[in-house]
Amino acid sequence: MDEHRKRHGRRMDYEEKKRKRTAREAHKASADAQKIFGHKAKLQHAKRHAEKVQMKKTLKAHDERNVKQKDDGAVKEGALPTYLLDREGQKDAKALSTAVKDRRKDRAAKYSVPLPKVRGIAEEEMFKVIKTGKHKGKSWKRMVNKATFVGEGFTRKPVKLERFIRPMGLRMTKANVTHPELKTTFQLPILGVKKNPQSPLYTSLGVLTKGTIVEVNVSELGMVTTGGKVVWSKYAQITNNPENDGCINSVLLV
Amino acid sequence: MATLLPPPKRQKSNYAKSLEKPKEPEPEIAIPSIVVQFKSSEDGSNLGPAINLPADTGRDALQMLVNKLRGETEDPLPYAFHLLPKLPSTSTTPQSSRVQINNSIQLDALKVSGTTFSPEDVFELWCEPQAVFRVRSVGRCSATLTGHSSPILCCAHSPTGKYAATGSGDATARIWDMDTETPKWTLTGHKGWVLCVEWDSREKILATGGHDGQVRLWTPATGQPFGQPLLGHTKWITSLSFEPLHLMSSKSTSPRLATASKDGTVRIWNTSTRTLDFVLTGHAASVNVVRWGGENVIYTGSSDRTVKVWSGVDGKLIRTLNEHAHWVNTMALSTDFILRTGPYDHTGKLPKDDEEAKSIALARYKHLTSTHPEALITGSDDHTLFLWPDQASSSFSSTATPKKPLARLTGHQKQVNHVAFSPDGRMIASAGFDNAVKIWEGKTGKFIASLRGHVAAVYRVAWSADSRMLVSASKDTTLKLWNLKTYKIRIDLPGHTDEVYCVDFVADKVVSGGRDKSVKM
Repeated sequence: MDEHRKRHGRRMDYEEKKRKRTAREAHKASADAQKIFGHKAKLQHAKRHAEKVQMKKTLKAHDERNVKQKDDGAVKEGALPTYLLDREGQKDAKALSTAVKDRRKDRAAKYSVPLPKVRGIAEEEMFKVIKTGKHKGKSWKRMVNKATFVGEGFTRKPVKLERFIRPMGLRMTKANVTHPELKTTFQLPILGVKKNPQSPLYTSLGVLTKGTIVEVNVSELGMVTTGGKVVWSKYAQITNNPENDGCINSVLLV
Repeated sequence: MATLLPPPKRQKSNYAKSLEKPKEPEPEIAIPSIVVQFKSSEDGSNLGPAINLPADTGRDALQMLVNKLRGETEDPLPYAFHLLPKLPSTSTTPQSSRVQINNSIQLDALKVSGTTFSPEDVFELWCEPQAVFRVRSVGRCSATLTGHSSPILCCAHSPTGKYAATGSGDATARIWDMDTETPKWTLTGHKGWVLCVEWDSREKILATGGHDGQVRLWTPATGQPFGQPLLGHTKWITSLSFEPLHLMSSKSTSPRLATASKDGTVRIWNTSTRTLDFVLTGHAASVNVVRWGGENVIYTGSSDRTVKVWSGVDGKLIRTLNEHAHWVNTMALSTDFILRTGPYDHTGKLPKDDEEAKSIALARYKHLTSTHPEALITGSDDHTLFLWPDQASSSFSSTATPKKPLARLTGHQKQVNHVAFSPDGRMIASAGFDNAVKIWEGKTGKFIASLRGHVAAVYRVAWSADSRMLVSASKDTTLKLWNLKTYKIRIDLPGHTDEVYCVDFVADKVVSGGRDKSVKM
């Protein structure tokens, strides 16, 4: 249709016809409204009713515009003497800064953990360089010195291509989780490593150091949500150095 | 073995006490005899020859001596004495530059360590005559008047001291009777907060300026509006000032009014016909304060960092004073009090008619300006104040050019909010946001003392009519009455529950209003 219009333009009497059609519309609409029946009528009447309501509103608004009403004289709140009038900026600035600080605190509070800061661990401490090759010249392999979690169904990559070696002796599956309010400790299986504060690389490797957030299976505790569903996993933060102790002690993050 | 407490000491019996030798009286320090030269602090001249006096001469005795020397034994004037210490060249701590003599030279100067006096110098005793009348000290809150439904923004006492007017954020102004401590009239009509209120010096008209830019005139006797509001300003009114009584021409029945507004203009209105006389334009930013000086000169201070001096006759700009580095917030004239109270003074005499009122007002004005020409002090957001010499054209013979300030008063650590001259023009008090009220000398601008005690910004300061007491209102909801002899707090006036925005000192009453919507007397 558009293409035709572009190519050939419109009829000569297009404007005339349009004008006449729009003029006729009011009459046509009223004639239709009186004659149609059935469910078509119902639809039409509903539509017309909505239109009428809208029209009435605009008419009323126009009427109000012409009438000059006396102002309520609503006096603004917060009266200030002359010497303080232009200084509102100062008060606002203080309010803004405190608001920003509060918001920052709130955001931080959402992720407040028992151990907010942990000691940084150097790479030499974390990895041991493994020399490979016929003459032990290549040293691109690393062995993890800390406790790790590998998960069920873990299969090693082809040994030749494996860059990080996680020794079986240092793999741990259970954690001693202390409930902070109940003050009791349970031994719960670890489901996965959520975040290692040292580096995302360690998170992906599954290294367990002090301060790591792990997900543990708490179905044993029997906690239930407000909806009635059983809670079966929660986060816990590791509080000891597992490579020294041989076990993982952690605190449940409720 | 557990340690036991020693048994209590045995008290001495009366007999044993009487056997003790009576304590010897403290050895009498020989009171040195010093040479005192009385100097008048107005012009520095010597009042009589140097006199040999014992150092413990009391203040009353000194006063009597000065009166005798001046030959005024019939009506003796009370005097205040102070010494100016010679500062040692290595002094690093700024001390107050004067040592007040309250008891005697012996006690205040010689015995106090840290001062550099010795009985061998000639003591130059500066004498300042004080007001003959004494204002009774304010002690307690005698009335708390409610009625306003919004914070009270400004208050002013009438020239006679019978009434006080307060303007508030609820768009009304109220007149209170000070003698009976009751409300008198409520003046409604403003469409916005009532920001400033001023009485004329004959107590016939009250002018109020509002946040809506209107200025309304009222008759305080009946509480009715005095004609239509004066429209013309496009932004809110920041300050009002009436023409001094002695400058009114004999034709006009009521003084002219100068109104300053945030829109940068000052309009001079004829209050009897309620028409505009002329407009003072020229400021580039909000005009914060306007004052009508006694020499028919209008001073305006503005946020464009300048102070402009205009002629009250035709509205022409005389001079621009350009020294401030930030907004000019506040301004005071040394003749402020005289101009505001007009013909009414402490004797309570009422002038019979307008002519007599004018002549009394003129006499009072001349009496004050004979010794100190009218000086202007401006305080600003740049933490300093400037003291300007007399700007009227008649003083062109002085050596200092009127455009240069006499002194720059530094010391405040934050913006200066309010400055006020004492009624006798001798001292200046400035209130700042750094919680301090500072007192300076009125003639030279030298620093005298800093009054500390407020814990939040000091908003307003008011002098008593005899220049002996100072009251300050602050954001920390208290008013403090200061002892100007020791520069410490005399009385604390608590009681307001929220910031105190305005204060005024009438005969022996202090009127204060604040954010807690109550007026306290």
